[in-house]
Amino acid sequence: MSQDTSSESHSLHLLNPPLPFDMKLRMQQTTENDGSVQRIQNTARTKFAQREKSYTEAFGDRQTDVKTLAGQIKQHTLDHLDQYLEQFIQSATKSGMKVHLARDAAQARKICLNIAQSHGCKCCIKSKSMVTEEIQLLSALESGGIETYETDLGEFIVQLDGDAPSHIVTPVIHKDRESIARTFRQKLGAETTSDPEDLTEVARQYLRNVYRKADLGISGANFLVADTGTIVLCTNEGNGRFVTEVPPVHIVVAGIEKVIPRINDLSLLLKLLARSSTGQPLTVYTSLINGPTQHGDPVSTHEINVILLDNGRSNLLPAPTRSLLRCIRCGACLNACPVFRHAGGGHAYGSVYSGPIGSAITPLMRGVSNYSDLPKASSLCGSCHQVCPVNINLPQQLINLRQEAVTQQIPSRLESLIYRLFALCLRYPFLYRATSYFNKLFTRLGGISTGAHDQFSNRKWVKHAPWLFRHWTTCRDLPTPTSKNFQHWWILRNRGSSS
Amino acid sequence: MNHRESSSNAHASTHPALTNMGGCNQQEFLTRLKDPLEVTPTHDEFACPPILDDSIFRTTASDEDVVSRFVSQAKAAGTQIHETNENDLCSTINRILTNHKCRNVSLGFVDSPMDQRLRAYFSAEKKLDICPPSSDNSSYLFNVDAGITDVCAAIAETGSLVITTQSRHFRSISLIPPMHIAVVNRKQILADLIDYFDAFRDDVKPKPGFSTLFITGPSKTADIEGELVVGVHGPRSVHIVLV
Ligand code: SF4
Repeated sequence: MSQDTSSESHSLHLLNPPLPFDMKLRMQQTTENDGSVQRIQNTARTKFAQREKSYTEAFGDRQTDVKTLAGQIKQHTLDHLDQYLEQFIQSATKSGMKVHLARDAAQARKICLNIAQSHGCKCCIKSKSMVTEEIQLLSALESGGIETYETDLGEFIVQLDGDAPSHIVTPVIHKDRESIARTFRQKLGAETTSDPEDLTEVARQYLRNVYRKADLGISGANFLVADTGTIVLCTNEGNGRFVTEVPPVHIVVAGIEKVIPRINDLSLLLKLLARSSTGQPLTVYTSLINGPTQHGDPVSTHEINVILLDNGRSNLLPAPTRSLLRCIRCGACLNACPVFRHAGGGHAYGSVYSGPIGSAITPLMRGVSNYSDLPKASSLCGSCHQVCPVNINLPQQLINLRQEAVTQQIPSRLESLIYRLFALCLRYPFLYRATSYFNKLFTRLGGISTGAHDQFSNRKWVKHAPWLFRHWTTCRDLPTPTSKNFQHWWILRNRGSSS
Repeated sequence: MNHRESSSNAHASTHPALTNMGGCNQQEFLTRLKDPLEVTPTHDEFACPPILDDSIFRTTASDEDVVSRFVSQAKAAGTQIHETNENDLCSTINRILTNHKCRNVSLGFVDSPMDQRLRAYFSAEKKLDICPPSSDNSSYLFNVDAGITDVCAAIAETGSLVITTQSRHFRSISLIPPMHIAVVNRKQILADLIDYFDAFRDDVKPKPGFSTLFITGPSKTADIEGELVVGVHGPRSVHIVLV
């Protein structure tokens, strides 16, 4: 489906911005619209609660054991990734699939185009896949003369609009029904209300006509099973099944970290994936594909190609960051993250992968200095670690990245001077007391001159701090200190108890 | 030579990844991974993955009343359940079809006696057309009102149907028509997903061309403002006829 070039470059820019990426600047755009921030908040909170409920129902007090086991299985696979990939290539080839290896995005795009052209494909249907987003496959196919349609409802809307997905599971979390209806009216000439049911019906009818003529299907994969060579694909809408069942040629693009050792591991991992994403016990459709169909089939030709993609994943393989590759892209950590919910969703992260997991892997895949803001985009509250089905310690990973950023860039003279003075004050109780006294005095004064009253306490807030400290108050107010500080309180308390 | 090397070499020599479409050479690709993995000749044996202790993640015990659990879970996923017996099977299906004003159906049965029985029933009373899989693609299915299939198992924990098939066309019968009717025998219901992977070990093992589908309710989405809509690309309704 063609879209005008300006909107196309807009969408590319959203997830592949000029580097180094400036998160603050981007967030000014993503938080501009209050309605959209609120919607993201609501959806993320609902999903978070649904996950919580279904986990408790299913596993009760075994939740920690479950995630430990799942984490161990994925970790084990990564520890032996070369072996399991080899095994997967072997068994997938045995069941009749063609396996290709791509070092980077450009190579993966080339393989895709070559396969499509060797079959003379004209019309491609795609199911939602973050990895194809990552390698910018859509625009490559279109410029290769292959009409390409996103078929996941959210991605379809994003494609029509020249926008980019803002959540790895629910791509249009940032849009409202009115704007979607407007897009459908403008781009498809559809007469529709803004009722989600009507909108879905428009997409259904439109895409059903596309399915009939499609001669190429492109999907991602949720798991690749090493011992059986099986491709596992989970979808709710059914578009993933059209993509894999109807066109004669199917291409699967999957990151190398998707491999798991045994088919039986699915009995655990499938239980976790859907519950973590949406709170369902299982996605509506879970397809286990064991090679192209062969006989007893009126639909004669069928070819399945699997492209295994590295594209920076091997940068994460060294032991300290290896656990990040356990991720099964369930999106639970995005929904749980207060920063994601306030930042206006995924576009704030300037990368296909957003939220806590995006903050951790994007700098490693695309360069720490290119994305130095991302590791800081976390309050380290630990919520992401708690919900992660494969037990990735995301806060720790983010701390490590911050450390790396600091050791890479030598801090400025002023900054080191400030820290040296701070250390001095901490060393001598006398200096500490003196500075905290002056601090109190000055902030009080500041509070009186520029401050606003807090409606919940009789404290004042500093609205505009002077000089170096002005940055602190650009996006928040500074509270004036309480009348008693901790030391003061402690002394009084001890006096009270001794008398 | 230790176990790992022998198995790797065997893999590499028989079925390497393809390079004819511009892909990377397998040896080169995997070697790049070995460095960060710190693969040394001493850490070479093919370690076993952690044991899947199902007491940790089983959600449904096999001595539970699996039938009623299946029914309630399937309903929760939006599936409609019609309980019947062996004798009334055909008439139950017929009733569902007439209630929904279906004019034609497509059948996808692995169990051929059942297939024959239904064909005989529908053609004897000229009730409705059975579309044969005669053309060389699935496109005729876009004009079919309902697809009827049997299943190879059902799962109580999730309310899912399991269909294993070698035929792409057969798979599409449960996808393209707006209504899917599945015939499930109570004996086919397994308690937990774990039981499927255990009981059907050989079935789930790769027989080339075999694919397995887990179907849990009608197709749905919550993409637009998180509001649930049923019937996106796949069937709008799924009916289970429980015998
Ligand atoms: S890091 Fe964990 S919680 Fe976040 S998407 Fe990946 S698997 Fe899910």
